[in-house]
Amino acid sequence: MKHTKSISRRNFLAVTAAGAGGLLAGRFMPVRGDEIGAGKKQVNPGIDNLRVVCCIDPAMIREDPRNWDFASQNAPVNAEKVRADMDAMACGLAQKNTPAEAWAIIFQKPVAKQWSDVKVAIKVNAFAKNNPRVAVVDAVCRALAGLGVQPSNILVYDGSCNAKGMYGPFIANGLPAGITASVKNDLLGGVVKTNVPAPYAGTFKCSGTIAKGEIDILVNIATNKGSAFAGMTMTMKNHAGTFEPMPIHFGGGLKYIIAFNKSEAILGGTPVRQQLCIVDSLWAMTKGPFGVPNKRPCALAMGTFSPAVDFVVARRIRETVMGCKHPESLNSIMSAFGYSDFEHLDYVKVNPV
Amino acid sequence: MFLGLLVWSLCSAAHAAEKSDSVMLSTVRGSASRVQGWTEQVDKYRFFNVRQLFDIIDGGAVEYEKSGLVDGIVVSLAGATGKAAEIYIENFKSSVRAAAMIGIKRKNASSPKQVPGIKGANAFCDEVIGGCVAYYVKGGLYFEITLTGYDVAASAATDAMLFVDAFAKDLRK
Repeated sequence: MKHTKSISRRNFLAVTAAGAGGLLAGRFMPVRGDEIGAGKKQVNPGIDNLRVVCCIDPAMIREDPRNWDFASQNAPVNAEKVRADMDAMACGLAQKNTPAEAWAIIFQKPVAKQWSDVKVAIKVNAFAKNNPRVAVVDAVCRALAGLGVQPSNILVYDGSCNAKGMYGPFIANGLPAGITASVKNDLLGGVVKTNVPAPYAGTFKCSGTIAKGEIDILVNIATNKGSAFAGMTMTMKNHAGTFEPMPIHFGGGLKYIIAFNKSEAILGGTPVRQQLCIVDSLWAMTKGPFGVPNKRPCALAMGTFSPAVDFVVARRIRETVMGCKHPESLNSIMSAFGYSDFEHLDYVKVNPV
Repeated sequence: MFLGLLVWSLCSAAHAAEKSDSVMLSTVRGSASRVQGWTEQVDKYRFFNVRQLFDIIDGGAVEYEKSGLVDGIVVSLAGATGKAAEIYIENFKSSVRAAAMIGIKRKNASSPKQVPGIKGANAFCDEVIGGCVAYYVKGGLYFEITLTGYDVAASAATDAMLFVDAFAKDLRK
């Protein structure tokens, strides 16, 4: 049974009152945290791990790029539309009436800190030629700034690639002035070895400040591509750029990807460090991870729990909209985190503003 | 002395084979550069072995490694009005392995089409937004030609034919 609810900002109250209670009580009852790796870890006390919102809006794109260098990918994006739709998605995810209230639920700070002292790292995918669009990163930065996070405390990174080279030219030109972007891990204290639990337990290199817990909020912004591992690469595999990626290709495979997503670096912290996961499917690739987009879903999806975001986007966007197929191993990204009965998981539809 | 001669001849044969591979890759690099309307961006040229391909295309390298890739080159070219070509030329050292590679690509393609003017199983193309990716094999060499900057994907397929034609002619010599 497909389980989809539709929400627009204007009729949000009515739909929420009628439908969201049913969603939460029946199928998506939050489970309070067990230890990471052994049970289910609740990311946000106010948002179900399995709640994923999605907005499909062709008006976010003015036209297709002719080339896929980063400037060409971003030129045709309607940034104002992206921002408005993401604010509506935030309302849908947090079940609040206004974006300000919603983002204040989604993002949580350590109790002892003021928002002005909170440190945020945004993991992008700066590899190849299909990258999170500047407008999506900007919408997140603006939401954080609205809470009081200082731009100088927002860092855009990809430990395997040059995020500064890619996003740097857009700072103060599509991205807020004062944010920073890193060349690999140079602004994250290099790499340190940190523990990764089962199913691929071991000690692996990880972006330094993230491994040490010095980042308060981690935002994960991925694109929608195919890969040899569960047939897709989105927010879970995005951290092969926080953690050293090569073990994936030399024995670790999907087990390593699952394992580093269970790590203290990603799911540790009080509050939980990784608080928002976004898949930019404005353009997407049925295959990958290398190459250029061949599909135009015009979609953005987000949630608090990476495996749920990836699973829902795989089934409901990649398969339903893009015509992809995924292997059975896709299910393991949910079962490995203790979930069963997830086959009918669907997104909460957010209507374009 | 016989053992020494044997070792020397084996090394010579291996060196000759490597030299032959290098000559082949150089030849096709030159073929691409001679297609009218296209200029190689020399600073983007790269030679790679299998391990280095992981650095270039990340997890995408797995299927090439499994298929027996030995080494290859990347040639980037600029065309008129913002068109761009990125050509991977990969040495599988065996026509059987190269043919298997294009078979994998054809099986996984979204909507494989014939490259205009090129018949048979050794070439096809697949549309992407802004162009196409064309695939071609000749002997132990496997080619992936990504063309972007086009308003109409069919025009990209036509240009792909020019590259494939150039490779085919020079490899026949």
